[in-house]
Amino acid sequence: MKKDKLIEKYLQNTLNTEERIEFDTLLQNDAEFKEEVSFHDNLKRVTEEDHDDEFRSMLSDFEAEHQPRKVFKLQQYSKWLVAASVILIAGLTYVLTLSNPTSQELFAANFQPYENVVHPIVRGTEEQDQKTKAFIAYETGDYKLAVSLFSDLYEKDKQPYYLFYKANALLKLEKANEAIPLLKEHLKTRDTLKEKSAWYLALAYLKIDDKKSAQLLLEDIIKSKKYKASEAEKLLGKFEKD
Amino acid sequence: MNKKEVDILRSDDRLGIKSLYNAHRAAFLNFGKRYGLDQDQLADVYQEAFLALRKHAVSGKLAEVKSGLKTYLFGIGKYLIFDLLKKEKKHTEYDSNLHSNTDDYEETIISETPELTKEQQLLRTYFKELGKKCRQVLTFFYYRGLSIEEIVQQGGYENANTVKAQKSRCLKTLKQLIKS
Repeated sequence: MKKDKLIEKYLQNTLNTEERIEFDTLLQNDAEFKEEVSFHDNLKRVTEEDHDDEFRSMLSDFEAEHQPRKVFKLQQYSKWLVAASVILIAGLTYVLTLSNPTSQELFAANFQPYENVVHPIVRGTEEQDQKTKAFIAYETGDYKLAVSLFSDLYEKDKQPYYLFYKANALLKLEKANEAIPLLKEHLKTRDTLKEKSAWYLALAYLKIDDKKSAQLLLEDIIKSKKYKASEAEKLLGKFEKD
Repeated sequence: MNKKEVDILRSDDRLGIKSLYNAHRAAFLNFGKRYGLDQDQLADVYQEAFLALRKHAVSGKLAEVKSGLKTYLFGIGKYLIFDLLKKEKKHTEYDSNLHSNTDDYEETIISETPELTKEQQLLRTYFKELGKKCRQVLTFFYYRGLSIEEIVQQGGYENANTVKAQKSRCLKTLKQLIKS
């Protein structure tokens, strides 16, 4: 039997006795074969690890819906905090005006989660379907919960705008890496919010310090006069300097 | 165990998995209280137990289990609680009498997944460079052990040939990444 067929059967656990003997003999005598088998074994273990990580992250999403929102008790420290922040802001402004802004700073200065234009929330309504819950979470800044609910909703009815809002929430949670594939997918759809996606994708690239991709997108936004074209121009000007 | 539940646990049906996760969460957190762990610790244990349940579903082990899902899941959870308590023993006295606690759940011992070897860690960095679709098809095939037909269905592929072509393309890319 051909070697790759043997390996395939080995991986699927379907070698019969005869094939098993052939497999073992090759494993002992053929170094190249041995290396190939070891590659597949390792890959199996690596895909397991990858699966476990993804599954854990899905479970944390589920868990986020059970956790009560954490409210910090700030009152007793508030005076000190105000004083400290004034000093901090003064210090930062001084430092920032002297130095070129980094990608992170440019991201922070430009990123604002896109407002909810899909599902207006009427306060005080008793009935709260999942979509309402998701957008309330988004509007009130509970982005972790919002991410989880948008994932569920997207799986259920595949509305492309869920990709867009989930990506926005992820960006706010500093998970630009996870937001990028969603925005790319959203750009392929015909959603009305699509033209906003380019701007957010550019910011996401900036966040992960991929200036080149960010630059290409910003240039395109300026050229085709898309959403935030003038901001794109300003932003581009800032990081072209360095 | 109920076949329908096992099938959901083996699948990528996010909403189905979520409803199973939610179905037993509150009861588990309540059950775990008697061991003196706080809610956060118990929620962590519950997640780890649920991951173990998933892995047993993937490996096919779950299909042979006689007890129901809840009993099995709580058994794993109980084992993980004791494991945690043993680790904390360094700081406080661990009371082995806890094991004789009378409840309906037998501890289910699960084996720990071994850490990645150096070689595997390196392979993992290359693996992460692949696109999402590649990582998915390889995970379906290698870890999940799905047949080509199952991959067609779960991954939304056109037919068996597209899956095979995709898989060999991805393997080729991965090998190229290693060589480069």
